[in-house]
Amino acid sequence: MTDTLTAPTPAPQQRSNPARPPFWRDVRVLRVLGQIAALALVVAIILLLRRNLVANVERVGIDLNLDYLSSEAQFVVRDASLERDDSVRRMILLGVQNTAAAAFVGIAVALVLGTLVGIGRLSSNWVLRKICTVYVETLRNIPPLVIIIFVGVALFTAGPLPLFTAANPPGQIKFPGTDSNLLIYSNTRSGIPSIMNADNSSVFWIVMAVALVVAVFVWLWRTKVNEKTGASHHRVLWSLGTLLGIGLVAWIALGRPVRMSFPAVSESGRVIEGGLATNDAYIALTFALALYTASHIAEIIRGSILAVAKGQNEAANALALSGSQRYRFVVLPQAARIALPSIINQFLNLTKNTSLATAVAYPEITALTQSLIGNDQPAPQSILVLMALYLTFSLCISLVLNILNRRFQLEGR
Amino acid sequence: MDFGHTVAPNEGGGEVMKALAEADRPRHTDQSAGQWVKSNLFNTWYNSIITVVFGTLGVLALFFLARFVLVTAAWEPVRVNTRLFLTGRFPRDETTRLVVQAFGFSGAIGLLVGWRRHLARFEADLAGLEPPTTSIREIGGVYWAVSLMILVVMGIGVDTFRPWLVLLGCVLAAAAGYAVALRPTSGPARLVTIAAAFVPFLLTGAVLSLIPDLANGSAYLIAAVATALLLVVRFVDAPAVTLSIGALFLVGAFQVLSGTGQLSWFYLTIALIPAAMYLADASESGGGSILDVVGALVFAGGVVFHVLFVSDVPYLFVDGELNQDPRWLLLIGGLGFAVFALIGAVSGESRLGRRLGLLTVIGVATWQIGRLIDLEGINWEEWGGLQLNLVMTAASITLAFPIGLMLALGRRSTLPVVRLLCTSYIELIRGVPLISLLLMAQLFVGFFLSSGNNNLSLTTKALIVITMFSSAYIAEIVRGGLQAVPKGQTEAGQAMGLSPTKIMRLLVLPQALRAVVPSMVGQFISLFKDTSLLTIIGVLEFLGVRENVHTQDAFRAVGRVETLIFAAFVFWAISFTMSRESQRLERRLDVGAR
Repeated sequence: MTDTLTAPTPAPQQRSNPARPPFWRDVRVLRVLGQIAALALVVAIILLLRRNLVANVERVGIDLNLDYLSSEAQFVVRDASLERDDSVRRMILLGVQNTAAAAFVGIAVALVLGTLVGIGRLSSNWVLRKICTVYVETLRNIPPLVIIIFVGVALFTAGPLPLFTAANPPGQIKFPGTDSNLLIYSNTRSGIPSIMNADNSSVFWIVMAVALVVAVFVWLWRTKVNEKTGASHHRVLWSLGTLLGIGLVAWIALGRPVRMSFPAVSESGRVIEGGLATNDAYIALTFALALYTASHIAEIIRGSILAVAKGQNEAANALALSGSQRYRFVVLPQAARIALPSIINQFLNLTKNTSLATAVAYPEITALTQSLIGNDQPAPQSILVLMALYLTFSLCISLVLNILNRRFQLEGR
Repeated sequence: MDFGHTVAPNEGGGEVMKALAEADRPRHTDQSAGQWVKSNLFNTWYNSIITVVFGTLGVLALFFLARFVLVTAAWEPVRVNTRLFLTGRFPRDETTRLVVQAFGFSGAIGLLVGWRRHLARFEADLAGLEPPTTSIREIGGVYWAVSLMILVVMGIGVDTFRPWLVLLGCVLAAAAGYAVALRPTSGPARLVTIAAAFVPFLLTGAVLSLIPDLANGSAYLIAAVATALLLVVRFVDAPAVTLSIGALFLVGAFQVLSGTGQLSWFYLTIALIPAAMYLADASESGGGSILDVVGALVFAGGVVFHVLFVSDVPYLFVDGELNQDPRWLLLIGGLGFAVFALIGAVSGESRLGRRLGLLTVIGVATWQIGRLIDLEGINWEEWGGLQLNLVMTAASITLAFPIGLMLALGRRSTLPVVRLLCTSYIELIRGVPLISLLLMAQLFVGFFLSSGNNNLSLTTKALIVITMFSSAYIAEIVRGGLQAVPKGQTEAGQAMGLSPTKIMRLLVLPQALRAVVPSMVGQFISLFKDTSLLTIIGVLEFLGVRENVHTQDAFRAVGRVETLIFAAFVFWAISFTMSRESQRLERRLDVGAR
């Protein structure tokens, strides 16, 4: 105590002239200087690279602008409706469409397959566990490029699928008792049934959109009823019932505006008419990427289920929940929360991996860019456009899924 | 643990990875066979159905696979071209180099594994703890290394050596390195380790007796140098020296292929950094002596000499016909460092001067020695096959690690500008697929180099781009590790009055880097798989060789599936081995942690 009381007060001249360190040791000054130096270094490097770029571009004689987007592409793409004289811009749009088509379907298949395999690895059944382990350990240790080529070669090029020529019709599986095809398969083109718009279809789709909104409101209403009264909500049943009920009434009232369309071999015997037709490159790419990504998702799912605290399981046991109830209400919701960020990462990876499609000549954006450059379009801009597009994909996916993630995560985590 | 590219632990991957590691720990139960079958296969009615259905499918799949591999498959394209698959267009007359390189790498691996043991014992000694014991499980992982070597050696040895002889040499080299680095202090083991130092002579003798027309004195000179280095390891009780000499073996093995010209002095100097630090610090305690002043002056002299007479590195990026000679930049930077070191020495605080001085001396010495020996190398473009995949992976990870570390620190910096720059670089690179960067390398990187130096090979350009790519991913991994270090560590450092740099260097980084070792292995695996993309831009790596094989007349339509299965198997074997090793490492790091 006395020490504190008798502690010497600061000397008066020090107080009037506070002890500021000299500027070269002042943290505030150093911080600013450090940032300026970093910025200067980066700017210097960029300027240097730019200088070289400009000099080289002049030497080679190409223009660094985006005018090439309007020029003619000068090549055709298999199974696409574009002509030789369509613009480069339309080619790039086609590539974006194709990338999106491969990514969406791939992600969906990978998620389902990965979840099944991940849960399978935790099964109490030894055989199932081992099969799932072999699947995961094999697939995730092989480069995706090899898997894509393998699916392409083993399934289509050297595989058992029938040819598709006028003389040799492809394999067809029909609905029992009808003449409509459930599946057409061959080593080039394949087709499945899809829906087809007829008269009044636009009205029908508008009605369906309205019905969807109504269904969401029904969902919210049932939730509220459940929270207020404790009565069971049956949300899924109610909303689906609303949606389908309105849909059915509208469909009958509008005179069947939407119909099934079945794939059929054309008269020339070379292409598929009707249904949803696709080709081997698309199937190989999507299937291979789904297989590869599923092996990673399986590990994430397994790890997330294991990461749910043991006490949760035990508490559920103590409440006498059955095995499936324990999974549905206690373990899986928490596991999903843990798994979500990593799964988002896998979606991003899958989207980026669609760029390997050159291996099977699927015309997505990277393959098309390569073709464009091969057809005398300027390389620097084409590649920068390509990278910008991928950045946009990545940002879009991570934006959407991060919003989802924020909603999903517990407060305070 | 490998999750595709990466999941930075802060993004939720950490929890998942920990749970997986816990679940994959080996366990033993004492059940009878009957009990096991009942509880694992037929415990419920639906499990019984699953067992029967999937069991049948599994057995059928195994049967068809075995029949395909053993009976119906046409392995001819693989068998005929094994060598092409493994080394690409590497000149046949130079096969000896590959054998010597395999020996050098094996020795280096032995030395470095031994160095880890040595370091653990050294640290235990310092802390006054029981030294850790060597268990046989510890070196169980060598099994995988050996199985990998079998594969490589089969290719090298096809028409020169009997493969098993080369393999034996590799095992011998690795064992010798390990034994020497372990330095047992008592019993007959002492004598054995001293004898092990002379193994290089044995190996050289074997090589020379197998290839008689190679007989010359320089082979024995190399063996003598290797033996001398091993003896240094054996008799100097300093882990830093063991590390340096292990690194020297690695660099040496690399130089056997690439020759001693150009930048080899630089690699050698880098390899010798730990030993130089050890020597500099051991010479006197505390900084600020005359040694530091002399060291700083030597460094300044070295910089001036280098700039005036040696350097041509800056010309890679800047045209020679510029008004300002780019070498002056290097000069100013180097002299700035020297002044910095001098100030430190005069103010009596820093040992930077003597370290820089010693490194300068080493650099000049290695440069001169390299000029004297002047072993011509095999050009990058002639490398290929699996060898190229492995070299590319190792080289780009090594180059990318320091960059990634700086980026991670920058991303966590409190300076907004630095943080913004680092974050945008990382996110930019992570947002685009590697293939688009490789296309850039193929068609575009040349535009950024000065017109006078536009003759970089495609392989070098690809290496630059892959390094850029992996540094962004490594940065995220390191950032995860940095975030995993508890805040209390930094605060404890501040309470002890350490400077921010010292807190980072002595407290945070060691713990962070230790935590990210498994993810780094994961990144290595991922990158190794990604090197298969090089084939798309026309570099003749493993998968590219496969395409080449099918342009041969005999195999135009034969064995396309088989070669692909072979490629997949090789990628799988190496990745799987490494991921298993990383799991083992993770478990071991966890055991004594914190």
